[in-house]
Amino acid sequence: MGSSLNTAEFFDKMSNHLDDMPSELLKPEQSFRDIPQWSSIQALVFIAFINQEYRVAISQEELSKAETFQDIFELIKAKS
Amino acid sequence: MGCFSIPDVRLAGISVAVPKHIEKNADYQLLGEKERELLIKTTGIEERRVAPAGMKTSDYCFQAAQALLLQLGWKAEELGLLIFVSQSADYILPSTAPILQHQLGMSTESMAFDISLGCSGYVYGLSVIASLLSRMPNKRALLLCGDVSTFYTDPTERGVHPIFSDAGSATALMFNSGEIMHFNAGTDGSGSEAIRLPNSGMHQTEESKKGLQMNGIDVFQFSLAAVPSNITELLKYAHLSHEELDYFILHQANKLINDSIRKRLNIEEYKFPSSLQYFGNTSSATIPLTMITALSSALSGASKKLCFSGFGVGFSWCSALISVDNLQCVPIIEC
Repeated sequence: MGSSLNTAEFFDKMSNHLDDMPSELLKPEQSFRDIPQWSSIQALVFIAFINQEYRVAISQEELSKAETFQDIFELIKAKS
Repeated sequence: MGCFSIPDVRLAGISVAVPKHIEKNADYQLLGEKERELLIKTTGIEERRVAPAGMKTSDYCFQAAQALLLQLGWKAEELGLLIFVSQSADYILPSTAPILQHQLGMSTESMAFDISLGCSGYVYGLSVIASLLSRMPNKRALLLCGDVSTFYTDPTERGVHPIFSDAGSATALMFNSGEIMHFNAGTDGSGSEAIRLPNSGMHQTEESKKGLQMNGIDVFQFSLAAVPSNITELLKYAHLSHEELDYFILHQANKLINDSIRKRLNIEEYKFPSSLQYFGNTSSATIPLTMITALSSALSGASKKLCFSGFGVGFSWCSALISVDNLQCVPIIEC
């Protein structure tokens, strides 16, 4: 199984994985689509990180309904 | 569980033909420099082969088949069975397999037909051709797989165009008592919209044609959910552990998907050869292409236990456990 869920740890690991993104923008209330570097490839890398780390599969539809990183975090918690 | 076994069929040789023309993802101008770098790092694809106008999948398969027959010293009239696996057939009708049967000079007493599958097609094709051949002593067969996917891709589709590449392959099989192949197949049509060519076939309307569409995130999730468990189940069925296998040759979807599957299965990197860097995703040709480009010398003159796994459009997936002995690998053909 993947790691258990802890907010600080999640954002820490996320920063390590999304190393092409400005780390100051990787915070809970940030709308990920407003990050200039966000792209469909970046989204795929993010989703792969979640699957690898937490064994949670987030679909395209679920991602499109989410706004902020906190929304994704809540989704992972709900699906864990 | 979709596991089954097919006896008495031997894989004799493989061959692949690709277009000469190379496109580099570093030159893909629709992405900025940083995004191009991320694309290449994530997909593992630096170069792709692109067929010129007028060159069909069947042309590449034909070249691969002729070279393979020559290397094996087989005559076309000795073949009793030809299966063409592709989603870029010459026509909607007639099937492409009879065209290839005639071009190759095979007997009219041959069985020849098409299977419409993409990324899972090589392993599905092996299971179908082996089942038929196992009831045809003294017969030989050709499995021809591949796609000219760039015929369908729209250069402005950033999630599709830099992934797909063109190739046609040929695999020769023969009846040989005492062999055994194991398969595990699956299908989930609820994912049929994740990779599709809209406005095609009976869905074609007067509206303008759209290129191949792919939902990358759902394809990733499908691959991780379906493939590792399918391979693990097959190994259990065959009473084998992955330490007993020499290589896992998977469909080359993209680096992120293939690396994630490998890590989930906890298998060493050297057992997972790749051809993504210079050939991209060539649909049902990726498995023979990877064997030829990465394993020719390892397979030549040696006995190896291999695991194949094809997965993708449909959704459709199939894995196989196959032993090979001195598998003939024709050097890659550029035409």
